[in-house]
Amino acid sequence: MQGHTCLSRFSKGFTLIAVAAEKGTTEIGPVDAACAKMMSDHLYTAGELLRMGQLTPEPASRSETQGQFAGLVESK
Amino acid sequence: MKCLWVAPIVEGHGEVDSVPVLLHRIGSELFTNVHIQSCRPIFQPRGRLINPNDNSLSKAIQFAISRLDAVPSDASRLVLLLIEADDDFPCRLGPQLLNRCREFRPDQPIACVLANPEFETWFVAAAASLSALLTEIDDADIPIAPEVTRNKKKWILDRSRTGNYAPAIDQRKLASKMDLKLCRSRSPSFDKLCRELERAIRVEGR
Repeated sequence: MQGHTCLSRFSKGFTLIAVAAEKGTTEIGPVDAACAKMMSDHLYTAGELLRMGQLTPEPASRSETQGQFAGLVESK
Repeated sequence: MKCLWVAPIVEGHGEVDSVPVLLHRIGSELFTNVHIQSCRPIFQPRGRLINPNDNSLSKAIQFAISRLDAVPSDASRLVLLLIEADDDFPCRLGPQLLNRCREFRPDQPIACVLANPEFETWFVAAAASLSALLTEIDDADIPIAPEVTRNKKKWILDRSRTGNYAPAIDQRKLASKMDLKLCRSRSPSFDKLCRELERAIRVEGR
């Protein structure tokens, strides 16, 4: 089961960050372009997209964010 | 190799995980030199999708098209509305839904397929190949015409090796194991799905 959390409002000037935990790996990043378009066009709210299981981090951002957050995790 | 990207719109949580598996397998096992890739299916309740006074269908189509806008430009594309026929006649509901879809976006390749009467009918049609997940089934036990009667969820439940049937968990397993050729030969609605995919590859691939 996926878990996602919206961290901030989505409107002009704000960024919506999605968090997904899949198979023991947590990923964080901006929502994908299709979801962003749906919200900016007022077709779906972030909550509706969340319930539909669509609110996931943009795939391209995943590897980048892994690098950005790598330093925050203590190596064992 | 031809590549087809499909953005499915489905009505069940089980289909969200199982339809991408099914589409990928159809491309690699039933077609030649075709790779079918699926966007994450868009889930909407059936009652809202078929209600002409509800805008869920048009919104879902817009979302599906947005999903396809992100795929490589050299790939073929298809918006696939895949729901269960239930008590409706597929020959009536299918064209009605397709007409509504085309009214919203006549410029986009859209197909409408109704699993008749349920998604599980396809597993029943291919039951002879699902002995790993279903108890031993002899030929007499498998319906000759699986699309004629309803309640195929119970048929699967009664024969599940685990004693349970949860669509969100089990549909993906069944979809990954079923014999697609057998299913296509015994289920006209599954054959319709295959034909729509073939058409999308042929038309879009020009």
